[in-house]
Amino acid sequence: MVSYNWDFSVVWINKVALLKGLLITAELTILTLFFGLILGMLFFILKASRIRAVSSLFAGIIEIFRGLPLLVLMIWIFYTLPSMIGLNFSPFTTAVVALSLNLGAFSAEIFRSGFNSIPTGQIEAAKVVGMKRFHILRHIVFPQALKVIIPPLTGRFIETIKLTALASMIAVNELLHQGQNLIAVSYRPLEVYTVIAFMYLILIIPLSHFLKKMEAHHVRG
Amino acid sequence: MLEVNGLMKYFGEKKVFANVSFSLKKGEVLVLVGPSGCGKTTLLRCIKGLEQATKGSVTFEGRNEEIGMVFQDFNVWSHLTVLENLMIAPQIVQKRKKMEVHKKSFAALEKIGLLDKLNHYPHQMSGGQKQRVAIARSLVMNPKLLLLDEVTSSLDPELVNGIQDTIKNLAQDGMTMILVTHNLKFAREVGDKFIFLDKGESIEQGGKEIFENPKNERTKEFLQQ
Repeated sequence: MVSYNWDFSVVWINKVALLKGLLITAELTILTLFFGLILGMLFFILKASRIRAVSSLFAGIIEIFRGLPLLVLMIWIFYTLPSMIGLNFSPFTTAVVALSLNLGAFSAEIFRSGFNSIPTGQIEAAKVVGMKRFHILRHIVFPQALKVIIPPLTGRFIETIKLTALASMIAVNELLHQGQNLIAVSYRPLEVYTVIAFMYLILIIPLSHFLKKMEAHHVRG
Repeated sequence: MLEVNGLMKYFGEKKVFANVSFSLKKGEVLVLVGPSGCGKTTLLRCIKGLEQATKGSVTFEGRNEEIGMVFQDFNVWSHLTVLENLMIAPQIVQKRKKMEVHKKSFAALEKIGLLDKLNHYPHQMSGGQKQRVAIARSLVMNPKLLLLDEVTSSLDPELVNGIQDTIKNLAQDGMTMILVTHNLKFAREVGDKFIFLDKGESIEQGGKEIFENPKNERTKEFLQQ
């Protein structure tokens, strides 16, 4: 057995820095969920547009952001956009933009599969009894689409938290990056990475259980 | 209460039906008879306004939502219970009071014999039960006219009788109906007026006497099946 002298004291002394990293990871996640879902709705609606040019443009956009590795997208926005169009984003903003575009593209497809899953007969039956467009959406289409949308969407939420770690590559002070900073001065990578791993799990596991519960509540029946 | 005049429907160049004219008084039952693909379903959809007729007119004395329609494949809303299926439209479309709609729904469910299933979801029910729910859902809207589109065609033979009895009871209660069916025996039992359609043309129409002595050759062939 390899003998190694575990010493977590350096982690304990710098706990505030790590907790600050965790907070920034949480902020990245919340902002990404917010903007990502709005973008997803927008992408979905525009791709469903009756105007051919609009729908194919957004089909293309969704393809690009789903296809690009998120890390490449993030780095590209960070280094290339400023020299191309003079748009200068802070690392944090860059991370939120890239993560949101990624989540937007994936959730647009999830929304599409949800809304397409509703048989036309269900909508026709609502027209027959005189329901207006808004009522059909609100009472017939939306509740049924939600059942199809929620399971893959919660999966995507969890995935988003994990993807925030990529922001460390453009020097966002999120959890992983704070840890790496600490390693650089403490030479204690094993301890720091172990603690960071646990911290991610502490964030993800309760949330994932909570989402599973919500899912069970909505998808029943 | 319903007047259909020279109704005609084309999908592009293709004729679905043409020159359909008839009138229907309160309490009458009209049966549309004819082989598959002769335009019966599209005719019903044009009367209801789900599709725009190419030419001709439909005049109904009442509001469009007072025309009830029941489909071949039920289309009961799958995320709602039986009771919710019945109660939603009267409340949000007709703005009726919940208590009154509740009462009416119970009465409708009792009539079709599904009172014990009121909290079931559609996926927990058989096709025949779902079709009865679909009929009850139309009835709680207090329709003046009920359109029934091959309502027994997707059902197993042993379930057909139950639905047919339900429709016969409705006819006896004085419900005005237009129904599409392939079943000549049932058509004859329940109908007052008949239109025989073939290849989109109304080839013969009239009362029960058509069954005794049809004038048109194709009607004769069809009745001998």
